Amino acid sequence: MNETDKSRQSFLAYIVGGVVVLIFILLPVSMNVGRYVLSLLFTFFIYIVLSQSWNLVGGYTGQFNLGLAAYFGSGVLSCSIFYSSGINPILSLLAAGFVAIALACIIGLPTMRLRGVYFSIGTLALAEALRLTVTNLWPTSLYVPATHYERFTILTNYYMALGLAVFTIIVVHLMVNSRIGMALTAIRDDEDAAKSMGVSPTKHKVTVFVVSSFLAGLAGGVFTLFRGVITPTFQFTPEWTFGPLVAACIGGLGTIVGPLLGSVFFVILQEIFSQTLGKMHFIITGILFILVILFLPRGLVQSATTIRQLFKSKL
Amino acid sequence: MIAQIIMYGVIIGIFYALVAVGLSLLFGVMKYMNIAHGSFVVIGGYISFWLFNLLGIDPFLSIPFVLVIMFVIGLIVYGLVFSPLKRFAEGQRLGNSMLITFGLILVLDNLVAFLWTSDVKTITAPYSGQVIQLLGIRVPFTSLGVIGVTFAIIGILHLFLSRTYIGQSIKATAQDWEAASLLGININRTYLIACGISVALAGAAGTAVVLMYSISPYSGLEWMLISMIVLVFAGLGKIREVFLAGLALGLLEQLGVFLLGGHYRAVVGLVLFVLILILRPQGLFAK
Amino acid sequence: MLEIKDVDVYYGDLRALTEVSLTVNKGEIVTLIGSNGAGKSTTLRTICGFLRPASGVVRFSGQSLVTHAVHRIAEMGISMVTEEKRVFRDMTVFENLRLGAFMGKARKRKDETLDWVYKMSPVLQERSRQKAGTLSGGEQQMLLVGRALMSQPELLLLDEISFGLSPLLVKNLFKTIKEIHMSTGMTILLVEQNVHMALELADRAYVMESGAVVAEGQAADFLSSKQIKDAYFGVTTEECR
Ligand SMILES: Nc1ncnc2c1ncn2[C@@H]1O[C@H](COP(=O)(O)OP(=O)(O)OP(=O)(O)O)[C@@H](O)[C@H]1O
Ligand SMILES: [Mg+2]
Repeated sequence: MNETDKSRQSFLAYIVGGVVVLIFILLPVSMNVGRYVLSLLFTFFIYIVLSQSWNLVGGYTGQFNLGLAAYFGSGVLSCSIFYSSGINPILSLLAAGFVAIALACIIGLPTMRLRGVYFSIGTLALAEALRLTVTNLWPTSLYVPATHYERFTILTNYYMALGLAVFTIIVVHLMVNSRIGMALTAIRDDEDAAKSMGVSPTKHKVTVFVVSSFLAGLAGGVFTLFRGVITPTFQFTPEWTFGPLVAACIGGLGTIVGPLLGSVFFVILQEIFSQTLGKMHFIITGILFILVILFLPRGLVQSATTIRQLFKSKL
Repeated sequence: MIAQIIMYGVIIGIFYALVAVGLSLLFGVMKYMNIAHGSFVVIGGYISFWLFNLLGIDPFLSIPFVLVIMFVIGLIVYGLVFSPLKRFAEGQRLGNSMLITFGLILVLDNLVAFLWTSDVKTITAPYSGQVIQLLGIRVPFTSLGVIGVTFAIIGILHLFLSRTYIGQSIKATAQDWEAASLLGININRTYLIACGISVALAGAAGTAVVLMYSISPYSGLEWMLISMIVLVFAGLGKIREVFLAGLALGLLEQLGVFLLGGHYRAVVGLVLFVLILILRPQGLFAK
Repeated sequence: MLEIKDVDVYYGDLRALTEVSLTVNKGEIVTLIGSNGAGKSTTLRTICGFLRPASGVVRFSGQSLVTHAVHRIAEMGISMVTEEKRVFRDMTVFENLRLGAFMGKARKRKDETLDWVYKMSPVLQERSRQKAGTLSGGEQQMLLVGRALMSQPELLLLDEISFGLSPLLVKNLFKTIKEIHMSTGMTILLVEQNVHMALELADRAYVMESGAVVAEGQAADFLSSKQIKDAYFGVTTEECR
């Protein structure tokens, strides 16, 4: 593929992306879609943010963070605490992002010294330690001020989640296409070679880890404003890591489109199967996930490319 | 007081060794990380629970059945999940084994929830409440039984690995599969057997869990993390050191309970785990 | 007994062997010499089944080897001592040797073979309870040869077994190989950097260069040929220093 082809393609991607966002903006005002569809889309947007956040570390640095729930959960918890102590909800939301960053610096940075599987089990262990501690400290549900429900309708929440999703995609896009992104790819492909070329793996990994945590924290804050009442334990469970991980892997690691596709897939699958099968849908998701890892290691994006190439070669 | 901390630490530590030994074996032989290990522990516990409730088989006596059933499950899991991993380049297998067994957790845990509902289950055998005075400390009878079972199982495993040709071929494959295959050892078959044994050991640990504690469909993660901590304390893939590592974890946790209270039992282990991981990745007992 | 014909082998895109052909007859010692990176080890690894030829024929006692797994090829009677020192470090010397007799046929006669190996190299018997990882380099090399012999192979492949050993140890090792050959008539394919000793031991020799066989003939002829001497002895003696 030559340069003009490439730039034409990314131009096309911007157009398509813009149109899709526009549709999502206009959807609730032009049609009476109802609460159900809006909350489904809300979940979808949160998944986009979380799976992009996970993919930023997992896909671009090849380090599988199994502790994403800790950052999401701390976002949920801190936003709720700030908000209920009288701070403006939007400020609370932003603060949630920074709490996640602080957490990333305190407990995340030590784990950055770990590589590969050690990193994964280390992050999982810390996330579990945090979950158990939070369960001990905040065993009951937390409430936002009563005025909340007047100020925040489902529509406000919808637009906030949409906004965060778009923000996330832009941030990830800019990062990946910057010098950082190139360094990351070099590190992922061969850490020692990258080191010898003067690229500092630790510095770059820390940068994406902090950004990833920030995004997860913001997602947590938006989630709090959506739910109102939250039970901290539930927001720290590994499901909040595993869902985004599955979405990113099914979609395609190390791409921006991957987590988007994966989130669509995951949320729809979850919705269809959970209505008919209850928790049984996880069995199907799990099998699908295993099959994708084994036979489509680069996810649905890969199969899409393969199909397109087949199509092209036919012409 | 001190005596009690030590006694409980030792008991729980030995039990932890049983929980972790299968994971260590699998990692040592295949260099795969099986995150679903805890889910196999839970399944083993449910099988014991079933045998006890439906057929009235004493949990300690059900262990041989559990071992056999879980061994077969291990063979199936190898064929369906681990064997296809060979498609990947060697450098990618470990990471992918982690992802795949993670998918396996989703499948197994929810299958268990479907089969046995999400209730918490435990076995109340006739001797469940009984205690024995040991050096002036009251020790539950079941705990002592579990310790006996652990010694027996790890002893048999040791004999198997060091005295039989199959055991020796497993050890050889773990150290250097290329050299082993040059001696006519069928690596695939060795992996298959090792996987069966690993899952069988997890199942036996499940029986201990359901006797000493209780099980529920989503509690696998807890046991996986404990196994992982023991694994890292022992040094990855080291089987003999698992015993010491289990003891270390049991004692440290009891110390943590004494200092911080029971709610923080697991937190102590997890935080220590990450510290060890960072400071001494070769394990506590490696030379 | 062993017949390799027009074999091409690739590492990814890199061609490591080009139309390599060689034969080893029953009861012969054949040596394969050549500079570093010539493809000697690659040839042996192809025979054992670690590498699959892209084209060409590898036959042993009339049977094609190219579709068989490594352990199947071992069962057919081929045993190899690899270039890397690969004893099972955490196992005792005895356990290492016992594993050598893993295969059914050899297992039945393992006690006799063990006595024979111990006689050939008494140091292994002295150290039989010691962990293999604690042996010296020379002892480990002996153990590797002993372990390969425990499977009672029809064809023994030896890849640079003298590497890193002192001249005296090399001499002893070669003497042992010679004894083995004399007493059993075992067929041996020997890869060596130590060209002189290899040629003295072998019946025939092949010379490899950048993945192809460039010369073949009687070992004795090579020993007296000035050309070969200049081309290979020079290199190796320099490298040895
Ligand atoms: N695993 C591998 N991947 C890629 N290339 C390889 C690999 N192993 C060997 N090669 C290449 O194949 C060629 C032949 O290597 P081989 O090991 O067969 O040489 P050799 O004759 O045994 O050399 P030496 O005397 O150094 O052992 C070399 O150019 C080497 O770089
Ligand atoms: Mg070589």
